[in-house]
Amino acid sequence: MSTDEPTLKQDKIINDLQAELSRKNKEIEIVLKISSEINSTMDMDEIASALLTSMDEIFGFEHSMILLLEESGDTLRVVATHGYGEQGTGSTVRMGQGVIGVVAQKKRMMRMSAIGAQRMYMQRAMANTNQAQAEEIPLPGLPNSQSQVAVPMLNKDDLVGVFMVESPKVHFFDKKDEVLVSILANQAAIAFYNARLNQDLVTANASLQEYSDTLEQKVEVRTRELSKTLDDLRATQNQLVEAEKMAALGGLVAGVAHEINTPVGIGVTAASLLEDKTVAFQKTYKDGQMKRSDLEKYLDTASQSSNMILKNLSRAAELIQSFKQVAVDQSTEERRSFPVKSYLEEILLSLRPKLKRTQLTTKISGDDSLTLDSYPGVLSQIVTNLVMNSLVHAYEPDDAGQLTFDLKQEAGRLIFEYADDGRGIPKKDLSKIFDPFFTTKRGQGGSGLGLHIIYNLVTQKLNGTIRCESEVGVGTRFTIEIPVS
Amino acid sequence: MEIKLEDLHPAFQGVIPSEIITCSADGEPNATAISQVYYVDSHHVALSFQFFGKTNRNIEENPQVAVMVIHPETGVSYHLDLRFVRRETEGDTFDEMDMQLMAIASMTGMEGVFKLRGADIYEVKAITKIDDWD
Repeated sequence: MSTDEPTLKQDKIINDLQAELSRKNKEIEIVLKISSEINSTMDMDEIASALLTSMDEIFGFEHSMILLLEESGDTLRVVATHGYGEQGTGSTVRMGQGVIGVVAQKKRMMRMSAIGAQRMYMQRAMANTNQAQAEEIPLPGLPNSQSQVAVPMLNKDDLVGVFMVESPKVHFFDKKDEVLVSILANQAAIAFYNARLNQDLVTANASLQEYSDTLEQKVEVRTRELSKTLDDLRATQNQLVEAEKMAALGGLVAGVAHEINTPVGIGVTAASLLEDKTVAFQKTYKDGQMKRSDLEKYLDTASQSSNMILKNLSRAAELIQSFKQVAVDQSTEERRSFPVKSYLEEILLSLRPKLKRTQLTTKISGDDSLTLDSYPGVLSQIVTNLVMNSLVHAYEPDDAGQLTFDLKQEAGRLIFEYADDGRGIPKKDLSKIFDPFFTTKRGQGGSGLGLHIIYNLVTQKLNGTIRCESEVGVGTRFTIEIPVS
Repeated sequence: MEIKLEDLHPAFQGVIPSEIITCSADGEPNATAISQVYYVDSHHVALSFQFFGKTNRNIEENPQVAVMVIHPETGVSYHLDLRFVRRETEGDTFDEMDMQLMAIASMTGMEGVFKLRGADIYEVKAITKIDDWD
C-alpha cells in the first residue's frame, strides 16, 4: 500500500489543479461574456443593468450598485442598483464617507467583513474615551450590511465612479471575489467613460449642427452690424475733418483781422490828422487870418495824409482780395482753374500771422505759368496743414529754418514738393504718420488728424499720391503728385 | 494536525472580539480587546496601533505577545503566540488598515477621531487550539 501513496497524492494534486483550471476557465468565460455585454452598447443605463444583473445571475451577488463621480468631484451619485427593491438611484455619497467614499478618495479597492462588529467596537471605544457619540451617517445600501467589496472604476488614473457589492452575511466575499469584481469594474469604467464621451460627442454634434444651421443668419447679422459701424465711423471721420477745416478757417479769419488792422489803423490816423488840420485851416480862414504859409502847410499835410490813406486802404483792399479767395476756397468745394504758384503765394500770405511769430522763412520755386484745374480749397487746406505740421513738430519756438515749396509738371501731373529743415521724423514713426489719431503731441494740442486729412484729401479728393521722406536732424520732405486736370 | 493561519480568517474579522495579552518588563500582564487581526501572509499578522496606552508601552518593553481569537462559525478559541517585528506607517498593509478604519469611523460620524498611527507587524511563532491546552 505504501507504494501507492505517492501515486494517490499525485492524483489528488492533478485533480485539484484540473478543478482549479476548470474554475479559472469558467471565470474567464464569464468575464468575457459580461465584458462583451457591457461594451456592446453606448447607453449608460444598459451598461449598468447588464453588469449588475450578470453579477447576480453568475456569482450570486444579490446587492450591488454603481455610483458615478459628479462633476463637482467631491460627491458620488448612485446611478444604478440591483437587489434593493424600492430603494433606487439618486442618493449621494461624499468623498471619504463610508466604504464607498473612502475607496473613491483613495482610488483603491477595499473588502470589508463584519462591518456591524467593527462599528460596535468603535462605538464602545468612543464611549470609553468619554467622547460624545456622533450621529450615524445615512449611506445608500443595506442598513444591515456586514460585508462589502467596493472597487474604484478608473480610466487611466481618473476616477469615473465606484462599483460596490454587499451582503448581510458576515463573511461573504473572499479574495477571489475581489479579483473578479475588480476586473469587471475596470471593464465597466472604460465602457462608462466611452459612453460619456459618446454622449458628449452627440451633444457637441447637435450644438455644431445648430450652429451650422444658424451660421448664415449670424454672419448676415454680424455683417449688418459691421457695416453700420463702418458707416458710423465714416460719418464721425467726416465730422472730424469738417471740424478741422472750420478750425483752420477760424485761424485764417483771425489772421486776416490782424493783418488788415495795421493799414486800416494807419489810414484812420492819417484821416483824423487831416480832419484836425482841415478844422484848424477853416477857422483861420473864417477869422480872416489866413497867410500864404498856412495854405502851403495845409496843402502839404493834406497831400501827405491822403497819400497815406490811399496807400494803406489799397494795401487793406489787396489783403482782403487775397484772403477772400482763400477763405472762399476753404469754405466751399468748388472746382476751378487757377495758377498754382500765385495761389500758393496767397495761401502763404494768409499764413503770415503764424509765420511772423517764428524765425522761419519761406521760398517758392517753380514755373509761374503752371495752372491746375482742381479744387483750390483742398490745396489750400493741404498747404496749411503741412506748414502747421512743421511749425508744431519740426521746430522749437526760436529755431530758424526754411520752408521750401517747389512746383513742376511732368506727364500731365503736378509734382509739388514741400520740405522743412527741422528735426525730422524717427524711422519707427514714419510708417504711422498718416494713420488717424497718430500724434507725438498728445495732450499738447495734437489731434493726430492733420496728416491723415492731408492723405485723404490728396488720395481721394485730388486723386493723387503722397509720400514722405525724413531724416532725423536733417528735415522732412513731402512729395505730392496730382493730375493737372 | 498543523493549524494554518489561512484557516483562521473568519476569526480575524472581529465578529467575536479578540483579546491581546501583553506583559511589562517587570512581569505585570495586561489584557484588552481588539477589533481586528489583519492577515499579512502565512507567517505574519498585523495589529492596529491607535492609542498610546498600556498595551503599547508593554510591547515596547517586551515583544512577546499573545492573542486569543474565536472562530465565529465553530466557537473554537485559538491562542496565537506572536513576536513584535516592526511598526509600519506606510505601505500596502498600513494603507489597507487605514482605509478600513476611515470607512468605519466615517460611518459612525467619527471621521478624524480614530487615527491609525501604525500597523504593527508580528511574526506568528505558534498557533494553539485552546482545547489542546493542558
